[in-house]
Amino acid sequence: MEDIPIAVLDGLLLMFTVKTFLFMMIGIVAGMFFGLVPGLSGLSGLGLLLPFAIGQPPEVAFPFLLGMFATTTQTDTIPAVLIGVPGTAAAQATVLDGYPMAKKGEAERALSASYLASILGSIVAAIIFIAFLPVLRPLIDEFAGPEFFMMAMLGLIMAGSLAGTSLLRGLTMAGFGLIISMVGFAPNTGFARFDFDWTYLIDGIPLVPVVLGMFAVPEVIDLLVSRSTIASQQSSSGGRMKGVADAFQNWWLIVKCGTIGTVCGMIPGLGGLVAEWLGYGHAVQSAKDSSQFGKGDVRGVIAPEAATAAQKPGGILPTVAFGIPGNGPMAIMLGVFLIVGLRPGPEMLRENLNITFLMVWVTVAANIIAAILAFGLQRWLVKICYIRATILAPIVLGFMIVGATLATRDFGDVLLFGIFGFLGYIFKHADWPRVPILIGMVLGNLAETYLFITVERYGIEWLWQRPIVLIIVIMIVLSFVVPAYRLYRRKQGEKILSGHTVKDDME
Amino acid sequence: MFRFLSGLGGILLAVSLLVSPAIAEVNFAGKTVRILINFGVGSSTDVMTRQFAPFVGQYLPGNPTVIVEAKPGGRGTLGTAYMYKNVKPDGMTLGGLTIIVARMATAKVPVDITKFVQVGARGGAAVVYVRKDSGIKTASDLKSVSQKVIMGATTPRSPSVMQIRLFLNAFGQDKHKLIAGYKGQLGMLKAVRSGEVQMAFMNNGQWMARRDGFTKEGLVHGIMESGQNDASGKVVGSGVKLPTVDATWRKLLPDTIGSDGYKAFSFIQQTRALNYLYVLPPKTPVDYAKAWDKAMASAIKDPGYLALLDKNSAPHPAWTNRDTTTKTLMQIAAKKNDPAITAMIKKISGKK
Repeated sequence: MEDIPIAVLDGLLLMFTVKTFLFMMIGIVAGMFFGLVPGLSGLSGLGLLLPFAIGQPPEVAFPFLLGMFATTTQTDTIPAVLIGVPGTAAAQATVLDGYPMAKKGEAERALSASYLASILGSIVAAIIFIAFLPVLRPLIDEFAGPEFFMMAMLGLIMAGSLAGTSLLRGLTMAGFGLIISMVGFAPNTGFARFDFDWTYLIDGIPLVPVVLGMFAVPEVIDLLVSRSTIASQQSSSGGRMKGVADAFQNWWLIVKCGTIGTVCGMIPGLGGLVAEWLGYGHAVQSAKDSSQFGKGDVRGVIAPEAATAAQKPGGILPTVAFGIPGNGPMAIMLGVFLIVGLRPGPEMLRENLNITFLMVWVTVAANIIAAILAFGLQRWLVKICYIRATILAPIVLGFMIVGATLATRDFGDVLLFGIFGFLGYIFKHADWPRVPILIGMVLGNLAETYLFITVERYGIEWLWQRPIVLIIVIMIVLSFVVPAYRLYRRKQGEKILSGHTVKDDME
Repeated sequence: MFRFLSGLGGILLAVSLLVSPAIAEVNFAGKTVRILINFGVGSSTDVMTRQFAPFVGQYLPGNPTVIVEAKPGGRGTLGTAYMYKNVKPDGMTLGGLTIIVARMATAKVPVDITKFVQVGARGGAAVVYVRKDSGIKTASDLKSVSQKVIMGATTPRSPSVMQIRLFLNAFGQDKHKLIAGYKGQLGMLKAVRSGEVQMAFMNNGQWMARRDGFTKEGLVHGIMESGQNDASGKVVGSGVKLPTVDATWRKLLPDTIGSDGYKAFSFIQQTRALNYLYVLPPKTPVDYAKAWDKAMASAIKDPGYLALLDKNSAPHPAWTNRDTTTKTLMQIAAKKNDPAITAMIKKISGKK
């Protein structure tokens, strides 16, 4: 560990060797594409690029794949903001405020703020990685079944309570997502459930057609009905620089959300979705005035983007240090270790520390380079918001159907796309939040798996005997109490202004 | 008349031989062939196949390029069904089906895998490891240790988990505990690291790649391995230099040899010889199977491939040829109908 400064520098220098840099750039451009097209993701991108990495030395293979993986969360914001459809699952929270901003003609501002938040978030992660590397391992080892279960609960409750106007509706929808997640193999018994003997459902309902159906179909129908454009107002001038300024003004929020994202990345199994929701939740709860969240508050874009960008360098640590991948794409990366002849585990932090830091640097550099490229492209991209509905809607719908079928290439994808498109339209117009369904689907499996493991292993004592569990319980309680208290204060304030108090009402 | 008929028969035979694909010349020159695997990108199967694939091409007639395609899902069954139903029987796609024989032996699979055109197989083994602070130094301590050892496992319906549960149950129902549900071997490793469980298993290739790191860290050590069956059916070690579970059972619990539990254990053990089953779609001309068999057998001994394995300290695998694979597979399919084994597997998997 005493060689950390040398390894940090060596990793940085390695990144600037010609072949490494060239492959990283190819990866970055590919990653921008995979993030931009809804239905594709970092995971599918890794699967497609992996054959090209094989045969390359580690200092080329990793920058190539990580360059791709790190940038998907930069460009997945573009469809999330411009057409209200998350480019990957990790941009769900961004839709909540990004899309309303686009409708107000502030798409450029939202995108610029998100790019810079991603850059700064990944830098925060790199600093934490370097500074705390020697002491992070005990923290990661502290996470076992009870902690995973509680983190899944926290993510669910955050999404349920923040993604709409009503807590009850949000939690109901999260519950609906949990039910959907139960289709397919039960993690603790191995028996398939609710699959109706249809092999398509044996692994559960795939997320991609659900996300695209639920978000794209309602927007396309509304666009066609309105016969107008996505943005109802003209693009505000200076939006790009305003977004940059927003990110700098909210630097402390980025540091905090970057830290949240890094920690979520380091805990194997949590992943970007929990990171972005904890980031978004923190932004709402820590804001003095949270009334504009969900209506186009730029902090609602900055916070989740900083958290998801930071989660990626964070995910490198358990992969290299323990050989336990922090998330799905890191599991593929772990395979690359073996293919290129590196051994994941503690020796990666001794003999190959420079490669470890090269990986961290690549995630930071990829974010910066992708942001610059996207920054240059966005002037043209935001014009999507001003294309007439009759032209844009069929194109978007076509893209979404293709995107939906990319996951399994099964007719079931089209069917699910239609079913969830219909449901999404109803939910949208009945003002039932759609995002908690998705997080319920994603975290349902984690929650179910670890609930069974936890109860079987610890009985019920884990509820009061484990410090991290207690901290999460407090966070969950606060996530209910703080918004309720704020609402009470605001209503009381409004009543005082209108001439009578809550006490008067009671009397 | 007889002469006419025999002449006609001769002509028909000649025509049928001419059009029969069974005598098609196998030559992949200038072509790209693929190995279709039934687990996802990044899985152990994927890593192993991608390491191996370039060497196979060197030994196939015409030296084609070999690519790897993953068709994951349904714990290996979706890729298997795809191979059976959707892949053309033209010899261009080899199915690399991991753990599907064990699944056939212990549960339902959507297609009859005995109907594939068999190419051959590689064995697969797993290593059981424990935390050093568990008080278990060798496998023998599992019998003498006073406290309960908690073992982490994946799904209870996984053949490996069934096997290890049968072994632990032989010590008595409450002697040790098995908690299932962890996601893959790395999920189990995480649970061991956190101290949630004391014992788990991982495949021998992964174990060998990590063993030195584990030794330096001093957190866990291996106590036994599954081993795999050789052509005569005998359980032999896979090269990780640990006693096999079968040998441990025989040594520690000799009274239970002959029990239904041991019978079911041995039955599942037999499938390990065909852990990685290589097949061509039904109706593929047999010459293609022979060509693939020959190429795989040569590639597995290729000095370049062995050097790659040595770099990761991975054990050298053995190739089971087409004839032995077919014979073993048919034996397993027949034995599946043994009522005692069926009942025990049903019980151990929790099926009502």
